Amino acid sequence: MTIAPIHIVGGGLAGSEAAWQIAEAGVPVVLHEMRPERGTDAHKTESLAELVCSNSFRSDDSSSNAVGQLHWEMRQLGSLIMAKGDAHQVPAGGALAVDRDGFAAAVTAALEAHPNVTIERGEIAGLPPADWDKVIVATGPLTSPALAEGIRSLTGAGELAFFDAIAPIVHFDSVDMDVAWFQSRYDKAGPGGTGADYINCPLDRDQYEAFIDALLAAEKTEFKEWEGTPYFDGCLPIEVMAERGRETLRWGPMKPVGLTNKHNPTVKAYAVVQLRQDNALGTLFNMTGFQTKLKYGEQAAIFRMIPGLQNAEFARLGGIHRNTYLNSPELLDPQLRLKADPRLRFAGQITGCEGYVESAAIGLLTGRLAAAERLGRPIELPPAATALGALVNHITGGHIVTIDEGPRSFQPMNINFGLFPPIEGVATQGPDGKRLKGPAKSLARKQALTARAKVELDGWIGEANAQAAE
Amino acid sequence: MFLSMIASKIRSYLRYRETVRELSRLTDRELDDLGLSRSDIQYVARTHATA
Repeated sequence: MTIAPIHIVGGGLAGSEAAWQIAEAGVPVVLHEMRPERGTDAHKTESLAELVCSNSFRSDDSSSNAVGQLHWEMRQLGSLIMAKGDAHQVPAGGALAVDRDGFAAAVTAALEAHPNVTIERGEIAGLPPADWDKVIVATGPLTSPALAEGIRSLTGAGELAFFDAIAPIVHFDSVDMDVAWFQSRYDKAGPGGTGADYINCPLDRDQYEAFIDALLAAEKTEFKEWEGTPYFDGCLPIEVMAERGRETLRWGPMKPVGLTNKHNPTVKAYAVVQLRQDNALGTLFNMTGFQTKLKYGEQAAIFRMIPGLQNAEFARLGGIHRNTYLNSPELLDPQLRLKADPRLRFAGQITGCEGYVESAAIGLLTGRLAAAERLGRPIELPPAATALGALVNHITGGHIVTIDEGPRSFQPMNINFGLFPPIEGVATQGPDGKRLKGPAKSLARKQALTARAKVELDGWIGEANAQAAE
Repeated sequence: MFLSMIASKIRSYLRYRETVRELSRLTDRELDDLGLSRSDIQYVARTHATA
């Protein structure tokens, strides 16, 4: 019996990894890459898996770093990207950095040599042909306009962003709740809310003025040529609002109305910064209305001027850039299929993950899901406590829908410990019997999270193997 | 002997400060790219200074 091939559009990290996983499962795969026939603004070669920016896969520490844990999981799952990354490693301290030419050449050669893989060069303009019954779209942030238009025709306008304003996201456990407090404006309970859904950080007049001064003085990032698109309405960066007038923010996102400071009920705040829960776990909060294009280095220092955020740790900083990604929690089912047309699966950055390793990881998972479906043995998704499970959960389900009207709130994100379900019973004492605090406590928590992830992943692989053997 | 020990202590302290300064100037994203987090800076600088 011949098995019909699965088509993959896009030969970046996600597409290459998906192709490898499918081929290794014994299913034929056709990988479509538009380069060199049609180039992009970012790529320089015609190799598959070309790294366009940094050559680093970031930390390789699988015991206390989230991306290091993802490396570990991908190696366990036979990842081509990790195998070739390891083989073409260059010295980079705690990071796994690769020789980009050697790496891309090795990935390309491995796929070309695989008997189940066919590589076709040429652009897929518009939606994939109707006779391709299983397709993985892994076209990344530089998806060609014709294909983007095709996807948009299926999903409706506005569901495929091209240009995005991003507000910073903070780890909840780094917010000082002795200063900040939970309350919704006028204690209003929205759908799924309790009336105390926001974290509020109060500023007095001097603090507000100092904050505005810092915003006005800070360095802003300049747009690259291909990012020269106008702002979305209602998505003005805060520094642009501050330039329009010193009071603008106080009448905009920092309005101090409808709130009473729990810690100091008789004093009205001059301005308030609100943070809204960003994931279902309640471990991450975004700074409401604080989209910004301040330089990264400036952002942390300026936002830590806000009372309550003086020790804030950021899961991601704000930014504005051109990007093509789906509103995945709305559009994709848990198996990463487009609800409007389930023959299409998505992988890589277009799904709303960020970073090379994350893109490849979603490619790996999508490839496995598609191959299993083709072979008629559907597999369970990885457990939420694994890095892979945490990442896919962020994309398809873990993110809560915004309480207010406004621009959609789903944002691309790197893997981070805030996406993992919280863990109980972490050791609170060191080997010497002293109570752990600060960095030592945080390290113990991270180590507990990665240890749990490793056990869960091994269990998942065991189940999948048992299924395949049946 | 004693003087050279002092001199080497001072040199390694200066190297420590220099590393801390350089790394602190990087953004979180740049640090992530190096496989470091901001809380690692002092540890890395200490190891580098005594190496």
